[in-house]
Amino acid sequence: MLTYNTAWAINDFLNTLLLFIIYFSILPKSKSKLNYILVFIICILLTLFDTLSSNYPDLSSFLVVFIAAFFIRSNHSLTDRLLVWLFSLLLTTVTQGLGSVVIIGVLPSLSDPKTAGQSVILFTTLSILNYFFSLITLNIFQSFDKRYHLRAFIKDNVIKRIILITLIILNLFYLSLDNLTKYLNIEQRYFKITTLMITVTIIFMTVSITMLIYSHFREMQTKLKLQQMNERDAYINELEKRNNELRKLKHDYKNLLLSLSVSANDNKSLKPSIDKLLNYKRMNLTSDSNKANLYSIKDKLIKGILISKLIYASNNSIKVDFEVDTKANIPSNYSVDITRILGILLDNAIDASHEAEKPELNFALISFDGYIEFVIKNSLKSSNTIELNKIYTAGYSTKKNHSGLGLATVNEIVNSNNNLLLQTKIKDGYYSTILTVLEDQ
Amino acid sequence: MLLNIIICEDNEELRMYYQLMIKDYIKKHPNISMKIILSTGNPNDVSIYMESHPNDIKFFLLDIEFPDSKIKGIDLATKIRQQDLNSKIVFITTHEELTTLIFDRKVEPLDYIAKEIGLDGIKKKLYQDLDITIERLIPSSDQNVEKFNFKISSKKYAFDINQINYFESSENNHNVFLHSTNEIIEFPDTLKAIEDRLPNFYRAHKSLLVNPNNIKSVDSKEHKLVFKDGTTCDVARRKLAALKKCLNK
Repeated sequence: MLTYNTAWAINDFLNTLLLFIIYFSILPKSKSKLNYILVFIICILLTLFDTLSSNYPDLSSFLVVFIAAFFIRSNHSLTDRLLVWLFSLLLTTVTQGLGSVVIIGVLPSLSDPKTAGQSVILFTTLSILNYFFSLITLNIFQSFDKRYHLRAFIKDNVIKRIILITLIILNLFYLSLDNLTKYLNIEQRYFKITTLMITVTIIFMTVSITMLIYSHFREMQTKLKLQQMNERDAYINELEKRNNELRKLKHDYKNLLLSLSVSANDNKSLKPSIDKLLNYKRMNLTSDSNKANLYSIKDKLIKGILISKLIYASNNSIKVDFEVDTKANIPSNYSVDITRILGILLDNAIDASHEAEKPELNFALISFDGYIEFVIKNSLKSSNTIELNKIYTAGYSTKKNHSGLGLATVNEIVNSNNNLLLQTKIKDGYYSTILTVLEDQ
Repeated sequence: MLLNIIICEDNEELRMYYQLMIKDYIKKHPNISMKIILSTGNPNDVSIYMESHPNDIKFFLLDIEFPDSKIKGIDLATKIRQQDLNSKIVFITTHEELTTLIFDRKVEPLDYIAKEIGLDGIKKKLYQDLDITIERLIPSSDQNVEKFNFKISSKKYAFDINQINYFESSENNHNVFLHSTNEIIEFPDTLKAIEDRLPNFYRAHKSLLVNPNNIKSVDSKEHKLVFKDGTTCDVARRKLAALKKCLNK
């Protein structure tokens, strides 16, 4: 009986120690000599407590969390420490249970030791199994942490609280079940059922908590994105304002230079230098303010296609000029149709201007009373021969190996819509298309 | 006929200089009556003048940015254009303020003068523009061409009838396409209404109204019409004979 008790006490000591090992490996910052000594003392005290009051076998489990949280020093926040303590406790108790179930299942003769040797074997196996399961779980957890950065994920306070509550519930649930079976001295197969139940519960809880956290995370991401978008809009507004101010300033400065050249008319040496200053090309900002104006288009689809084509064209060394009337209001019910048409027309314009001697692409969105106009204008190769009244028929194309379906599609969309009108014009080496969108009467 | 010249420029010195240039020009052309009727830095003055003199023949020299006023040159010019289709507008401004496509569509200005080109450049361009304006003032025979007028929403268009090859109605909606050599314009109208307005035109097809003056030949084999500029279009077979008869008149 003495061997049994000693073996049991050593097993108990090792189990308590395991809890601290797990705690320190999750929070490595708490590692210190003082803490090691404290842990050692606490483990011995708790083992003594367990041997003396064997009537309440799980009371020590509660005590260990409180004592440890109180004595073990670390600079982590209380919630963090509690989280890790509860996690360690749950892990060790569940693996203990698992170890017992394995022994009952595999070596039923050991479960009720008769001799001293048997009890030594029983508790050694129990401890080994317990350490084995715990450390494997810990390893899995840490490799997950490395790959998916769980810690960064858990930093959010709401998520932390959710996990904390879950851990408290699971711990209480397990300990009360465990105590109940032990206190009522129910048969061993009930003990198996208890362990099974707790395992299923843990899996179920983990899955649901993961889903909860995931949805919360998504919500945070959307919030963040929305905030970023608002910030970007504010930034663009600010940029536009600055641009306007700069433009006004430049207007004034050019006016001044010009009037200065009036007064300097007699001075032969001064006038050319003023003219040079006046025509200083680097002071031209037009393209940038154009881009800022593009951002003021409210329709996201149309803004998207315009910005992407603008960037594509300027990357392909085409001289691009995009003008946007900031007052223009695009009817949202035509947004998809307009986007399709603009996509095709801009692609054609980019292709055609690319072949031209001076690649040039101009775009304008203009608002009028009762309608808006999209103007797309590009330079043409001087040898170009386009048969204007054929371009909107399917199969006609000036490009080699090209289906010629683009403009036919444009024609189809425009024809099925009374409020969309198209004008095409070739003049002075430029090809221009105007899409008129009438407002609904 | 008196040509009224209006200058709107917020920089006083420049305004004076433009005045001098124009006065010089007026002196050089004594047989043409023109006059600087208004020279101001305030766009509101121009609006007031516009309202009180709707029937004058006008030439505007406008800056675009007026830092002291809420009215922009473009708004002023749009207003001028709405009231008077025939007045000539020349913008004089810096590069940055030029959004030429928007101005072209809204105002159809006679010219843009960029201040960057310097005073001599400005003078040269301004004189050219005045030359063109004077030229168009004198009514000549080829300027009195017949125009086909139509509207897209609030905007009025006038298209030279001799340039029109044919009108084509689309199948699915109530719009009509005007086909000329270098331009296709879609506008809300019906062939029937156009046919009534243009008695010379011939209805060659349910969806086709052609200008007989621009037809070069009729291809009976392919059932096609060939226009003077080389473009072609399909015709209904049973209408071919009648069309030929009509052309031979």
